[in-house]
Amino acid sequence: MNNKDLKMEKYLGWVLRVGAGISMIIMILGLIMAILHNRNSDLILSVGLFIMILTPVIRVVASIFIFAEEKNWMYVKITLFVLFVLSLAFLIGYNK
Amino acid sequence: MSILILIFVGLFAGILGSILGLGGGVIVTPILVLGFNLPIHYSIAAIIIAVIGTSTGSSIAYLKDDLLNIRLGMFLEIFTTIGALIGAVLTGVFAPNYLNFFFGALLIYQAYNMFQKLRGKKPDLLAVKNDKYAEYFHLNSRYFDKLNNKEVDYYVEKTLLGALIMLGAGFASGLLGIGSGSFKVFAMDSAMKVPLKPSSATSNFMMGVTAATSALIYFFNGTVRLEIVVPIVIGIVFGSTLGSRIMPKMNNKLIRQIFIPVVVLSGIQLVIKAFGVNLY
Repeated sequence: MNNKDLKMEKYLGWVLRVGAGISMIIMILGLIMAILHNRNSDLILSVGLFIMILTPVIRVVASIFIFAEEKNWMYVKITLFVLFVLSLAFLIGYNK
Repeated sequence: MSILILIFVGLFAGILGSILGLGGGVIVTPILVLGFNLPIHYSIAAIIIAVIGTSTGSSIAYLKDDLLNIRLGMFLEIFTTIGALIGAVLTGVFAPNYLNFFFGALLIYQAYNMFQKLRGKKPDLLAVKNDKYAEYFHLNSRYFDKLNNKEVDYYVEKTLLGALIMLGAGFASGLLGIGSGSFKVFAMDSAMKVPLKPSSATSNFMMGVTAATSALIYFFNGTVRLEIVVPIVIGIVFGSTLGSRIMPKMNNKLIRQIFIPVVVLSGIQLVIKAFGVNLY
């Protein structure tokens, strides 16, 4: 039988579901406010969208902790490295 | 009214994207640029965020269905993120014409490769256990095949080639805003011999991370048009949730039959763009 991270699948699924769920609720609320011409709709829409964008990043951070708990240090290093490169790319792109 | 249209566009893109492991830009871009007269700059921002919606929406089901290869995804994300970083550094340094041609040709080659598999000349064969990198990084895995109701053990081969293609995939999506998913499926399905369904599911899983950096940049520099992006993303999350429920029950042949025209279309579009012909 080949490798499988069943615990990881469960936790990451949970992270994605919570992130997507909260973001969707806020975005739908914002959309209804926009249709009703509420002044604050843009703020609400931004918050919902921001949570959506952040969800994959939170997923990467969460996997670092789960790999650490499983003492899978090789993958803790790999994931930390990915997070580092992501931050670097963001800083460079943002300052351009 | 336009909100409803955008939600439907998202819904369609989400279903297709989640099944094929793509971001859905091929579908969303022309509709936004031609139908909504949205400048290409804003469209790219919309698509990058749409990619995140597809990725998150479908990964929820693929994690539950035991289709994803998390380690393979994490390992390959090293290369897509480095590629995206190089892309971000090089933005504006040189003309993207050659790149458009190169990546376009690569997509058409990928379609040809898939076509051969479809015609049974090079049928889906599982790789044998012979790759020392796959062994070292524990990339070999298994998935549950819902169609035949059985666990399938598989091995990964040509890990280095796959990593190299991923580097290109990250580079292309960072610099040109294209192919966030199709090159990933190409690397896993064609080079590394990962079975099609885990390839598509893992591509979906990785896509969100590759797109997150650019999405954050667009979010902060004001290229995101909320009234357009939000309805699309809402549609996409619902669509990808739906698509990811259908995909495990589809057979590989049908998935490839849908994949080939979509990839050929994006390939041709890039190649003619290299010669100065812009469809939009």
